[in-house]
Amino acid sequence: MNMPLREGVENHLNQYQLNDNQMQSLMAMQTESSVAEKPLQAQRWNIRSMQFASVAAALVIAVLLAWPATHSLRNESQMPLAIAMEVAKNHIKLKPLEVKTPALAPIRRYFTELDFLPVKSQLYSRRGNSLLGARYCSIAGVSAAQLRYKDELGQYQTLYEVGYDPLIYGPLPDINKGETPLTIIVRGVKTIIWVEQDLLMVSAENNDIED
Amino acid sequence: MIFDRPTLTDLYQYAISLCGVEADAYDLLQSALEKYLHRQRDNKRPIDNPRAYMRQIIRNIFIDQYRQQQLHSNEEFDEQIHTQIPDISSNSLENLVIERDLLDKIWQHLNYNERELLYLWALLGHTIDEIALELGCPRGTLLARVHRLRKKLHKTQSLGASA
Repeated sequence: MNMPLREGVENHLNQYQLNDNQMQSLMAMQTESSVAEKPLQAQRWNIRSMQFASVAAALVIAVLLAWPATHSLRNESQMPLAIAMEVAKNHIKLKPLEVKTPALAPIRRYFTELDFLPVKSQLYSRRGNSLLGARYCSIAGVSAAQLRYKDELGQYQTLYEVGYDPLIYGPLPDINKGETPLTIIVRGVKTIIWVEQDLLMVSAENNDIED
Repeated sequence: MIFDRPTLTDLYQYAISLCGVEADAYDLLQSALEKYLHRQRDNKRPIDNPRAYMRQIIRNIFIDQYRQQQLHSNEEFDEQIHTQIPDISSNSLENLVIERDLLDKIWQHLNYNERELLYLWALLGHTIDEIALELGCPRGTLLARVHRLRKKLHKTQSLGASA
């Protein structure tokens, strides 16, 4: 059955709707912004400036420390570094969670738009972190799940899961084959990349730098 | 409150038309709203056309990200493809008839310029001249884009019909 192009475009785009959590999050951003007082804004700005300066300082140190490792990586493939940079950027932003729960089952039910099911990583679960929730994200343009954890020290950690396609991501270490995960430090964030249960997983956490 | 639910939905669909992936579109919209709210607080004068301003922020963020991604991809940049402006009218999209599910099949295969053109033309009802003004893009470039889009839609429909 045929239709005018204009109607076809309208029908197609109207399929895309924000879900309730996303809509509430955007509305809350506007409400918080409108009630915020100026002095509080200034305080926030100062805090943000300090956070930015800390991240920038950490980045410089991390680049100096990680240069030999990252230099050899660049010669082999750009993709792991591109993944690490994208994940680090997302980790630093810590955007609001779309589903908040300490259990994996509700998270699996929430992610209806993914072509895989988020799983419990054997490698990651050994660390004893507490799960806080999750949100949609993407890695190299492919829809992915971002799971957020808090460690024993109260630091946030994020775990990204996406279906592993070697044609998109290139060869990456598979822990089910006994291979060692790849560690890349970028933007002051320690990222670890590996394949597990046919999923590409990337963990991100603030890189601890000793005084 | 600045943007109500229908407006946020419109802006989300605009973000979809640029990046094509829902998760990216939400991130894009959220980042743009953050920027908009910051600018609104910093500016003494009210923003004249908040919707258009938001679209501009969304577009700028997207283009920055797109250019970064080009470092890791060899997809051609649309503006560099065309060398001559074909002789077509701006009405040529109006007359086009497509199969009902054609766009579902090929949406991801259109480039962001083509999807954005369709959004501005179909959902906002902009003419080619208005689109050129909003995007700061020469009219000839847009007409070339319309021409390529028509060819792409025709080709896909022909392949579908012969399959």
